[in-house]
Amino acid sequence: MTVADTNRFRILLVEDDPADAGLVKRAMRESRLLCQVEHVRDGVEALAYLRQEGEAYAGSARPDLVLLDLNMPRMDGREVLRLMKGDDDLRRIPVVVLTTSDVERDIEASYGLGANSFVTKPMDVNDFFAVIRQIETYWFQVVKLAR
Amino acid sequence: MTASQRTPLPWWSRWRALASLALAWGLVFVGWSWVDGQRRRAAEAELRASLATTASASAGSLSAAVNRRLALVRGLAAFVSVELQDGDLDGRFSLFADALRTSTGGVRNLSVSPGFVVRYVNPVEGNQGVLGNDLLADRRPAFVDTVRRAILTGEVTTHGPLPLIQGGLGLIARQAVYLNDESWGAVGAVFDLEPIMAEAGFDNLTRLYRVGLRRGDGEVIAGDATAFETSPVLEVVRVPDGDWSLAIVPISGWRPAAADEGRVLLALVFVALGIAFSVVILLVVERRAALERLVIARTEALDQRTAEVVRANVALEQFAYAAAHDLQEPARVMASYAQLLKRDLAGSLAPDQAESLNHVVEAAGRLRSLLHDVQLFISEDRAPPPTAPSSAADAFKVALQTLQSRGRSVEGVVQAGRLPDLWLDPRRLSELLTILIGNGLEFAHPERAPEITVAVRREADGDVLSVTDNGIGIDPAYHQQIFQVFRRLHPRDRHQGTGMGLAIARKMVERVGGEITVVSTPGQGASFRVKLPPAGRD
Repeated sequence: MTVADTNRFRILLVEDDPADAGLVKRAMRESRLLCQVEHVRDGVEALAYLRQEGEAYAGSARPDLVLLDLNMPRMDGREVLRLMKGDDDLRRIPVVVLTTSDVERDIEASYGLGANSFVTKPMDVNDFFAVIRQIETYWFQVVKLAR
Repeated sequence: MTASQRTPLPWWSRWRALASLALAWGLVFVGWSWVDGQRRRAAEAELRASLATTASASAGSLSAAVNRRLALVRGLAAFVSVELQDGDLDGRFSLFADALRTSTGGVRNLSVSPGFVVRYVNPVEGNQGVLGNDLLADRRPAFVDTVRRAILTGEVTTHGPLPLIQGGLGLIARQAVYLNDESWGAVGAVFDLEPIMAEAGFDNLTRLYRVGLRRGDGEVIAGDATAFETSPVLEVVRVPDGDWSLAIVPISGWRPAAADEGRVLLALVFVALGIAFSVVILLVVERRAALERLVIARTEALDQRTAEVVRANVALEQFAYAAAHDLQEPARVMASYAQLLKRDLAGSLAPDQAESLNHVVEAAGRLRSLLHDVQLFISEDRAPPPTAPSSAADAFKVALQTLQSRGRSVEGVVQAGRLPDLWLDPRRLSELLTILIGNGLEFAHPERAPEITVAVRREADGDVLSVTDNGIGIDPAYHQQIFQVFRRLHPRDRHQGTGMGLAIARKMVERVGGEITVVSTPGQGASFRVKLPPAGRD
């Protein structure tokens, strides 16, 4: 795979904690897969980005993968998931729920709403980076995505 | 005034009291009616028995009075038979008849009818009208039948009492007379009924009672015909050629006769009984009402407390969820950045600076572990019970994988025989085994290699899952305390752990109706035994 090929992959990171978002971005930088990461801070911004609504997101590019936190202000990850999977234009975009929670209720609810994966963020930063790398590898190198 | 007294009673409680009183008085009335009825029936029966004695005596007297007069007819028939043989009937009849007629009262006349045509009558005066009367041609109802019955039977037959040719009401008696086995004619007598009745004491009887006398054909011949219509005491009056009936009833009828002064007393007794019932019912109702008020007040208080508990549970649930996510996230981010900082500054950090960062990472990790265990402990209260047994063998594998992911060495250390299905859901079962095996690994004996055995023993009333180690063991003084939350028996620098593992294990087991205990000898090891409800036999 060439650099030019990988550049085509875009990840929308939906995460309200900038420190946590920084960790994901750093993990992706270190993975050297050169994915393009767009970060929004809650569900409302995520939907505006995906639907190219408002001045800020008028020219936003369609992501190939969404990394979605669950607990966020204004609109949480569950609602984003529900609206995405109910939208004909957005439902094909794979969504990986990336959260601190390992509660069964969250896992079941997320898959029930159509999440493609549920990943609990590991405590150890090295494990965390490894998980991010595995997510990228799986979705951009193993899986064939609908474009 | 207490809270229970202030609590109003529901409407049905008051209506129930009124209904109880109404029922009590209804029962009292029914009881009084029944007893009064029994008393009246007994009095009537007694009166009837008394009247039956009177009626029997009166009927006997009447029968005797009639029969004494009929004996005169038999005497006259015998006299005529004798005189027909060789006597002088014409010459002697008058003398004999005079003597016979005056021997008893109420004899209107005596007659002799040769060829059934009246030829002799005594006295003649006042009775001329019957002379020459052809007995077999008399047109008065049943008259001829009486004569013919007399011819056929040879016995005295009677006719009447009936209105007589001479006036008044009288009883006619006949007897046929035979000569050489041929019917010669008949003798007869007419008796006034009134003297007969007087002789039988009928007058005295009618002064005391309502009395009726009727012939066998139903014709009332004396007294009050209505006596037969009010359930009278009946007595047969034996009279030749057809019995009569004597009916006697009290002048005021049966009911008034039976109604005596006892009725008022009886009513008073039952009113007193009704009042006593009412008092008892009111006491019971009041006692019950007090209890109901107490129950209502306690129920309201209980509802209030339940609502408070529900609110507290909801808050606890929210806290458990926050512990799972919102509280763990900063700990994880903090640890991650400390690790990154340490890595970025590798080589330029002084040893104590690196150690400080290690402490940050370690503390953040411990904080997250604590939050995770607290969340697990709290959420167990609301976790659904198992609906089917699950494989202990699968749960054992998951537990080993989890322990390995935490850096624990399990190869050749943890062993298990054949593990059947147990009455726990897979998550609880793997978590339970992770906690118990992890406990055995953590508290291994420093002088020997750890050995942990997992086994299941099936008993009649359930399954016993045991996790046995050869570790340092637990002092019996702590066998209960180790299942309490945050209970640690060793300093953190010697043994890791949040102090929540065994508390979570006990909660999980008790949640499904099981029990967890430990058997241990310090220095030799420990065996945790989990008794579970039976999962069914395979």
